[in-house]
Amino acid sequence: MLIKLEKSSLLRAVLIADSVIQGKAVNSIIDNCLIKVFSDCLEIISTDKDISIKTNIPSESDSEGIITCDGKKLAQILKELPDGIITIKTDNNLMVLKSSTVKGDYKLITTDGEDFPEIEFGNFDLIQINQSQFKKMIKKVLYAAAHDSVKPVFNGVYIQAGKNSTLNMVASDSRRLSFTSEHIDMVEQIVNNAVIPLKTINEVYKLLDAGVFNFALNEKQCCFKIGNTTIISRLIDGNFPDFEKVIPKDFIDTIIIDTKKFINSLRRVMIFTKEPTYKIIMTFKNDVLKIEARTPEYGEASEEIAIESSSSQEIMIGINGQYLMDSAKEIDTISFRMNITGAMSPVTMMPDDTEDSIAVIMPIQIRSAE
Amino acid sequence: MNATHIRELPDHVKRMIAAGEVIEGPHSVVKELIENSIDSEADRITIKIEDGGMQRIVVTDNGCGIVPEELSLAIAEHATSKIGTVDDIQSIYSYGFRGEALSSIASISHITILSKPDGVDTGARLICRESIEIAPFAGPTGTTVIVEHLFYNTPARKKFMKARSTEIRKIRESCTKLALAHPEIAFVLESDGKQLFSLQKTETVRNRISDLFGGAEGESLYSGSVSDMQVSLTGYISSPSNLKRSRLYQHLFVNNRPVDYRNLSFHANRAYDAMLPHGSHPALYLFLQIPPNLIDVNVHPCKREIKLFDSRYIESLIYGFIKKTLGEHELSVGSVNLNTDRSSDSEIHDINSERQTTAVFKQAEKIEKIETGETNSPDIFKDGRSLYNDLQDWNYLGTIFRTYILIEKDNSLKILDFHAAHERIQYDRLRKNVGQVTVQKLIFPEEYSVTPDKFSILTENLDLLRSLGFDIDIFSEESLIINGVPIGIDPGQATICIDQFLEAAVDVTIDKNAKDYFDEIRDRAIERIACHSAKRAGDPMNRSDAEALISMVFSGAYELRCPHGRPFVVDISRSELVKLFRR
Repeated sequence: MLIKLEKSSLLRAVLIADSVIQGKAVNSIIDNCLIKVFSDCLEIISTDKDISIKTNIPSESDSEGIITCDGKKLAQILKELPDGIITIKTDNNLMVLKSSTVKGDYKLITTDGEDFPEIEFGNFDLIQINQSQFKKMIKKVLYAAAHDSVKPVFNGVYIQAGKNSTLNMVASDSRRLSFTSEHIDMVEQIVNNAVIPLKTINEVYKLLDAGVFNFALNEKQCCFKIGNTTIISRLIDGNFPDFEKVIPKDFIDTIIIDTKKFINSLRRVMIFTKEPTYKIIMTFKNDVLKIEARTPEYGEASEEIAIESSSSQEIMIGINGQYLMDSAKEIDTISFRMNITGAMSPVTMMPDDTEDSIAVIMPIQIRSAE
Repeated sequence: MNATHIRELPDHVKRMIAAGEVIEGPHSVVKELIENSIDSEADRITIKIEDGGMQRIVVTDNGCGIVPEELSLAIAEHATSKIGTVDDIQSIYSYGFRGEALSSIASISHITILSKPDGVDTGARLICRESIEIAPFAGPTGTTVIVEHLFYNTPARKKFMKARSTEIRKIRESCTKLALAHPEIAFVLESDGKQLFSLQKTETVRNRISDLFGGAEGESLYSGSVSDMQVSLTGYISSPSNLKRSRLYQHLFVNNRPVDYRNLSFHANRAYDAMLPHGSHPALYLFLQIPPNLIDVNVHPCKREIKLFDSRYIESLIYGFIKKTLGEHELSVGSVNLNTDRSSDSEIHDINSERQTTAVFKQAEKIEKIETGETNSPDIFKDGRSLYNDLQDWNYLGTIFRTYILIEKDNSLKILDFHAAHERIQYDRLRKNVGQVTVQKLIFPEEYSVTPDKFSILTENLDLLRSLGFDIDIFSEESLIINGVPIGIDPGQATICIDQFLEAAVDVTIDKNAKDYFDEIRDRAIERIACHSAKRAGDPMNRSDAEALISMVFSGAYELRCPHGRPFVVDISRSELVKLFRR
């Protein structure tokens, strides 16, 4: 078998495939990349059993076949070779790489592709979504997801088809929640809702760029076709809790804050906080927000920012400053709204021109036991 | 205004006042009487109390007895058989010598003494009410003292007596202490007809400890001894795996006399050092033998306190004793034996591969000019943590067997057991939370359903749960709602934590009225919750988690032992490594 192709496209495909491989799987064959050779293209495939990824690249080949090899090694040698056309010759358990510009042979050990598990990239009803739009949505919610909660649904991003062709995306670790919603044509055609694992979302996020991509869901899996790459992923079992119920609708105070000023003040005050609480105290009174932090080991800090407030009542809230920071960073308007529902109740943050992106943060309560 | 005249107090008033110093309550009566029995060389002492000793205290021994003619002297002021001259005080080995106890007791209660010395046919009976009556008595050899209606004539003191259960506890404590000092004497303690303990004669203090606190307790203790010229110290101490939750098990005996020594706990903790997790204390049974002329027992009428000739010397003796005893039983923590032959099958999961991939990806981006947006994926997770960290003086090398973290620090290789380390951090966080709790409110409250019997255990302990940082309310007849968890606990684990709390509460079967009951549940619950909320061996641990853990572990704020006392950091110094390679 003799294959001819552009080096850079192969390198990119191998890197995409290799990023899914966890390494140290019990079934060692799936530590490798699978290369399916067709007469006019290659498919570079990898899987970690939860996610499978396939990238299709143009090539010329004299015959068809399947080989597997160590993706990391292949990527390493490809990276070092100059751009241009390379040829790959398969020979028993070796694949021989040759560059058109460098004189040299690189023989990589391969294994028989027949042992690689069959991966179904199956038939899905796909809808089209704008890549940059979807990428922006992911970025707005991803930070609020848990990484390793024992509750699996928190280790993912929840998507849900909303009313009037909207797609809702939510992530939460039960301490905070981030919600965003965008209009997407035909979205009601996909299955009502699903929780997509974080790893899958990360892979998707890396691939998303410009143009549109195809997306589909069924009961067990989701599918993303981005450019010439297809990702199939398992969904997280379990029901995501009813998030709409926990986003407050009635407030005792709505304030408007300058986003940049808020972030800068918070950044300074947070130097006086400590993990895991990063506790700061926000006091709202007469159009002034006071942000304070106090840690016995470090000292204390206090800043005041002018705000617009709808109430003259003084309210004091203890909260994780890091959570405020994470949410504030995702706000792209000059100022934002913060809704207060009480000292021990959720704080919500949203850009001041829309209600399509909302962050909910639960306060921290300090109680002295007698 | 009437002038007040200075008058000398009548004798009986003087005695009542003096008695107040010696007799603080029924427990001091019991203590004084047992000490008399021990001084009379009895080998069997029976103590019976009624209504916490307020109604009646009976102490019976089989000691040498009191000669009938001297019986009336027994309750006279400063009359004693124990010393004769002032010089004798310098060489006291007996408990009593002031000659105050019986006379004091007699002045504030109705006392009856029955006694028959050995080798005499009849003894005597003394009944002291308004007046003193003496009659012949034909009973077994030994002395029985019956004290009734304590404080009948000092109602003010009577009013200050603590609850009956407290008094019983104190009596029990007094008896326990004396029983520990005298394994060669059989002790029986009964309260309102119920036997609290019955201790057979035995040869060693260890056996006595086993009889008092359970066989496992006695066996687990380390024993040791040190001596110096005229002073010797022997005793038993807890192994680090068998620590206590309170200081109640710390006893110091000086010439077999139980004494309160304020600095004992401090010096013991110093000696145990890092082996002692927060909130735990070693059991100590220390026996100091010292020539009587070097101590002054006569500083407190109850002889609870003593004055040592050189307290700094004694303290260093205690410290040295504990260090030495621990050293003999515990391996030193600093060094490990590595079997060099087996190193070939160990694999280091290279965490840097992750980074390399990212780097490779970056390269590819450059070549391909792929616009993937402003960041690579891991960065969108980036939180402020690293922003606020100071410079680190360690280097994270990787994780092996999905259990141990390898770190290079201070010219040595450190191996960290991440479950145990995380458990320690969770444990300390929860412990710190006691008194002032920091609660993370939950967006999605968790419902916790239980069976009716467990429901009642939970509702009884609702305040305790709240004091641990669980914001929990009753939701229905058989379920609770968790609205908040202690900071640092994964909200997803809220229900698991309550499971652990329940287990702890079910485990604790001690007297529900005891003050320690809730403390005990709390302590056990904290242990269990810490264990279950900590990452386990085999759990995935990414680089940022590992680094966060390492920086906490080496911040100096934590002891490098898990809450059960096992070390979680093993240190292989550069020179030890060099040796392994036979250089």
